Amino acid sequence: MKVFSNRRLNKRITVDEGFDAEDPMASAIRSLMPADTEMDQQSREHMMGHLFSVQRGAARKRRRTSPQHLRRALVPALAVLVVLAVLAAVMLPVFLSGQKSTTGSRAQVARFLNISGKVQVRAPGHGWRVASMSDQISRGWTVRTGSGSIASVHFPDRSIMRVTDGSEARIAKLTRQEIAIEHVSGGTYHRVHKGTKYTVYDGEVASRAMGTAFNIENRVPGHLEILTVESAVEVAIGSHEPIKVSQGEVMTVSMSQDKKADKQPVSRERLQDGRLMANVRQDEQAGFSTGIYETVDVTGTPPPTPPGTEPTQPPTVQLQGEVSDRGAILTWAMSGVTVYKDLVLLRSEGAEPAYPDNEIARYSDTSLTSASDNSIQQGHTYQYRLAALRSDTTYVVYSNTVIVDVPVPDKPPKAVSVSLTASPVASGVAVEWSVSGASRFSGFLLERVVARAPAGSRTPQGTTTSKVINSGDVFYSYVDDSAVAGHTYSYRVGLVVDGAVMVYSEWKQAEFK
Amino acid sequence: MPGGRIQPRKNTGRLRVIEGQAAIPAELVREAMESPEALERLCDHYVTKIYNFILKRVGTVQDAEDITSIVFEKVIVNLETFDESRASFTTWIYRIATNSVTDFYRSKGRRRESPLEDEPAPEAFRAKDDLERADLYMVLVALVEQLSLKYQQAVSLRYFMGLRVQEVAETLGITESAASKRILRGLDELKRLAEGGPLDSLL
Repeated sequence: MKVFSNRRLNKRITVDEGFDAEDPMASAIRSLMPADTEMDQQSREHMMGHLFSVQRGAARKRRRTSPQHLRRALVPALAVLVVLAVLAAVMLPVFLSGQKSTTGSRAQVARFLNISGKVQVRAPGHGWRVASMSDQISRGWTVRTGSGSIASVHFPDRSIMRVTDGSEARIAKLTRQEIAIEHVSGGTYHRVHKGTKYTVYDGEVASRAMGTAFNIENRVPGHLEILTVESAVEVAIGSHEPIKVSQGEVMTVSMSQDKKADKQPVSRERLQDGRLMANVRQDEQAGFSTGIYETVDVTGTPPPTPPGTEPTQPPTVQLQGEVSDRGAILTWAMSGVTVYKDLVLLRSEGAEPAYPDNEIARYSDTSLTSASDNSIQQGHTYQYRLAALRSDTTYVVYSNTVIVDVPVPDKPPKAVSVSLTASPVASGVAVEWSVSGASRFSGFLLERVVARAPAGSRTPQGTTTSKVINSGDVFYSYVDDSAVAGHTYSYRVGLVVDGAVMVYSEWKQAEFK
Repeated sequence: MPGGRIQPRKNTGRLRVIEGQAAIPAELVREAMESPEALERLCDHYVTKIYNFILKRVGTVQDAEDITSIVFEKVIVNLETFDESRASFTTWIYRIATNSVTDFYRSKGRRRESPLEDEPAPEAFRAKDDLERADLYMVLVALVEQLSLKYQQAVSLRYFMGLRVQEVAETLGITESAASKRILRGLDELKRLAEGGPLDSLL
């Protein structure tokens, strides 16, 4: 009879697999568990490329530290070398083109969708070279275009960046959920896939969008323009609250020391810009919504000229328009000495308004210089022209066309606020502020109080000064060069509407050493 | 022992089919130190299992891909130290995966870089499952994170990896009896944490 030792018998006590079958939490976990899925093929290929590289490095290290192992491996190493050589031939272009994979943050890659003209790329640590459709663009790559050239970059999330002629942009971040572009120079157009955190940086200005189309240009030295074609973009200047630039709006940021930002409806002339139109046409062909271009007929030919009109005559009537609580406010100015019989206000949606079809009001008092249209509706975009009927002929003189976009108010309406920062610089104290929730105001009241002053100061503690700044800019930068060394100042700014301060920022202190 | 006999246990539980995997030949593991083909075969064998375990634990594809890569990188770098007499390769790689997820949460806890409200819905659910279930799942993942490490690992291996008790025990280097107790205590702790929360409806 065979005798088993107790030790052996006790070594393994099998537990029934159903031991937790009746446990409600176990059942809950199993019911919530998602189904298994396959790893993305492209990601898997990248991972394998990285692992082969790690494998080669580990093998080299082992050979260096183990002579015995080296001797044993001499024969099979020949075979391995052949395999590695083949693999190296396959992997070399990948590594040369900057496809280095780092632990924990393997790069995604973008590809060119289109290259036209002279386009160059630069991978980190490499020089400029001619771009190729087979390039795998990853984090740190820079793309630049020459005169008359364009490059379209297609990101893995299906977002698209078009680098227009004479421009340069660098991919600062590229992951599945986040893309960051450094706009270096020229113009870039961005069609952002919904769900991706997409940011374009230019110095201190960050334009962030999710599911939108927008254009960024800094072709004019010191000026950055953000134009939203579809949906909205949030533009943050430095650490200030982002300012929303909605569809059909354009923000211009002065990039000089005294930063200023201006936001207004985009003009028809700007929409007719060739580069912008080319991008929008490509979007249209790809089946994307073209936003503001769908509401404004910028590509259409002018309406047929009614008999007896004089369309070629340059306008001598300058028209301006804006939206207020009372409706669309239109103001105009006449130039020249022409005497007019009547002024006719024209309005349309879609095509450019023409006389007499789109007449909405007629004024026999030709000395009038403004009018309001209170029949506008929220969410509509109107085009206005003023037709001046001359008394000596039957000809019509048209003003320029004004586009008035009547926004749908946000729900709930955002409170007006002003955020301010104050920081010492070499020449004084730099005070910057941005306005959120208001676009119509006449200026600012900047107040300064001496918070701390050395003994014997000419401006002792409590000394108050103020300065009125007439500006409609939503971002403003001001250097207080009257600050005296050794003093600490508190600043706040008030937003002036209709001659009175509507809201103040918080007080911020800065010590000028 | 009174009576001196062990009575056969009545099988009152439901029959569960446990998916098994063919054993990995030891030679393949050794070859994977040098041969890219062997490495690829090794990865082919384990990547889906490891990736899905990690994806279920961390919730986002990006993190799951990164951690999966880290797991296999650790395997390659440490293959020389792997001792098949002490544990099977499967047990070894599961242990590396478990530790890598723990490392991930530790570093995430230190960074505290993303607020809870920014956490995306688990991508593993997006195609097929409804959002309500995805929300409950995220609650579950958050509760598991609150467990002490030994319960967290036992519960994860059992339910997120789908291992048998024996495999859980081997991976954690404990007996099956201890593994089952650890799992049950982990479940009890989860129930306590879930009280009054959204998961209550399932309990």
